[in-house]
Amino acid sequence: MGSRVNLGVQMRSGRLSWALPSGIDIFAIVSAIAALALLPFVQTQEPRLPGLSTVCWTTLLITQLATAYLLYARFQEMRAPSHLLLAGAYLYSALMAGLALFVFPDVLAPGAGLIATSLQSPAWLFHFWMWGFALIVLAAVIAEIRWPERRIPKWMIEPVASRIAAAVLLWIFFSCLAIFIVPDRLPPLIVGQRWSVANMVLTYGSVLLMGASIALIHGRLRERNGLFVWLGAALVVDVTANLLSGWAGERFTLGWAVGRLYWAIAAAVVFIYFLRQFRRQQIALAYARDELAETVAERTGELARSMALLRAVSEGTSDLLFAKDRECRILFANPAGARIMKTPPGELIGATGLEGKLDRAEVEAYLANDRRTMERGQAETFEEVLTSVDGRRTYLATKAPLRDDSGHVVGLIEVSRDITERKRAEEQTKTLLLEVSHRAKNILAVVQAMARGSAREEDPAIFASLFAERLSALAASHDLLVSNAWGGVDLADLILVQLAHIGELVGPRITLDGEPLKVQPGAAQALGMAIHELSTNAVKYGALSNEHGRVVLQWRLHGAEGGVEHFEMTWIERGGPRVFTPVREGYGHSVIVRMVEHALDGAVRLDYRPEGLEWRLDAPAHAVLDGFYQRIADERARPDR
Amino acid sequence: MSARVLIVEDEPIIALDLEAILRDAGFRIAGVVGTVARALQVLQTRSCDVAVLDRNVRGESIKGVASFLDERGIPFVYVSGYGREALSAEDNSAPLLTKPIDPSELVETVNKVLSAAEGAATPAGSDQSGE
Repeated sequence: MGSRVNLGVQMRSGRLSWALPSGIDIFAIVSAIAALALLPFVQTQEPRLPGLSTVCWTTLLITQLATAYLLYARFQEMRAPSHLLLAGAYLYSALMAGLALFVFPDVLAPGAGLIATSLQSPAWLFHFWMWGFALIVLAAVIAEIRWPERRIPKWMIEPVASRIAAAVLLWIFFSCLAIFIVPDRLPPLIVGQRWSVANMVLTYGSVLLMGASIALIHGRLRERNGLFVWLGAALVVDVTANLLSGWAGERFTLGWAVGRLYWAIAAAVVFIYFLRQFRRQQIALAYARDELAETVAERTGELARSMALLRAVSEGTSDLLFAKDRECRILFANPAGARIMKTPPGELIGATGLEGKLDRAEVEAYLANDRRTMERGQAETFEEVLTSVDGRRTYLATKAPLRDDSGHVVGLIEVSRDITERKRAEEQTKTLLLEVSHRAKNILAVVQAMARGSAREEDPAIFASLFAERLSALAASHDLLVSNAWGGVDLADLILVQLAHIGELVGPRITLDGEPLKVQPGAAQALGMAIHELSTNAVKYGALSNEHGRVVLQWRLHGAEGGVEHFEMTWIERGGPRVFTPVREGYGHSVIVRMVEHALDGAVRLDYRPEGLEWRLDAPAHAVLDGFYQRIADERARPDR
Repeated sequence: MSARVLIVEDEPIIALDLEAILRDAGFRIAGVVGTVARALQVLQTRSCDVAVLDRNVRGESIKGVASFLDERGIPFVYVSGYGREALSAEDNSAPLLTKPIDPSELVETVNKVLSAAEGAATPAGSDQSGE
């Protein structure tokens, strides 16, 4: 901001330096014309003003000392040699004015000067003063023209300044020697009240020197340097003063008096230049301050808006947001994050999680991820587990390094999302898929085994139709199991499903008789297969192969022998063609005997009685029924079909 | 003398198939059972030379049967619908066939474990037949 203010000042002074020199030039020209108008009257012996010299020299002393100081301050800022020379010129002039207070007659005391007795001393002092000032100013103008861009190195400011000051003092010392010791050996400058020829030569000589400076300023520095333009105006007034004084040719004349006034005015010109500079800087500062206040207000508004937005986002989300420092201490946490940390808002800043409110191992694990992110310096996503207010949850935490302006990692920012439900669903799907795959493989294995069994034991000519029938029987049982969600299956339903291909015979020729029971999935499959084999055999060769044969399918639970309840099922055919014991046992035989025995851990008796086939199954009830002895509570007998 | 095989398989149709395959291959059947309890019962009353085990019978782990067989140096083969990953590390010693099985592979594997066991120890008992 400091540089902005400075820039403002420079721009303004640059712009104004066009307008003001013309004003000061007009002032200088008006002063000069006024003096020229006075020329016919300058030798008039009036008015006699007793305090005139005192006021003039005092004014000179004060304003030129102040100007020298301001020029030196300017030099310290700009470090241009010309400014230092100018400061030296004004210091010299001020000190000479001070000296003049003691030397000139009628200044501190009536009559002769305080420390000089000769009338020639103040005159010589005056010319040393004018020439010295004019010479140093000319040197400054030439320095400004020759080396406009030269800057004295900072470390040289004080040595150079003190040397210039020493040189000024030395010059004054020699001036004093000339004024107080030698004056009587020098040509007289005042004869009676009038100036001598030497006096006139010295006067016009200093006028010429100053004229040279004015010419150089107007010729070479006019357009670019406000300070020198004002200096030029001051010199014009000085020259006018010397001209008036010289033209009057005598002390206590009008020209002599007005000349002194002009010197006082000239001494103030550069001082006023600095006062104006000061005023301009104040305006520029005020302007910059207003601008700054406006910008700050604007930025504060923007900041407030983005803070409000940030707060809305961070408070509105259920994700956990954190910012942490290099030591993993929390710098910021949104409400969701603060809640999970189990820490009151006042203690949250600076917390790491190791304060004892959370599981140490879990916290160490996420801190390791924090450190890893900061060490690698790149964003990463981790799965983290944290047990807190909502129980044990899994989070998907994305962490990114936080960098300072120079790019060093100074912390991290983190966004954590609770993915516990998603994880759970994923696991469930995985388990389900595994189970589905397992079941599918199992079914495939069963079908394959059945195909192999059918092919092994049956006539190849009827294999295809037998296999197809068995497959649909298996599928029917399977459907029933699926619709019961692999739980218990109602036995009567199972039987009806397996007899569906001869469904119209159930009731008229097939009698079902048994209590309502629920059977286990494994048992259901075996019983289903057995009933399928028995029924297809009856249709092809047994009681259902003619018009009047009958089948009775009965089941019951009976007596707990030694505490073990038994399940009994019988399939009895009557009224069919005469039955002979088959020569060769097919796969169907394996299914209804050995497979059922194996599956139900029971015993099967198969009798090929001439009047009809009889199949009897006896198995422990716990191997058949769902949930061991679970009988359907409703003992109401089902209507026979 | 042909070897006697114990089949532990809870899926009746598959058990029948395994029995038929092994019988056709010339093995004698020491028993076909569908529960761990029955399997142990058979092993205690009859002698057998090799076993074919389902990994999981009626929701029960076959581990008890496997360790019983290991103690007596009787070789066995796993037949399972689950892949190898579902077996625990200690079960990894026995070969695993996944369902649906290839009959010739089953016979080959059973013969392989039998001959490996005979090479490692004295041939399994020929004391008495339970059939």
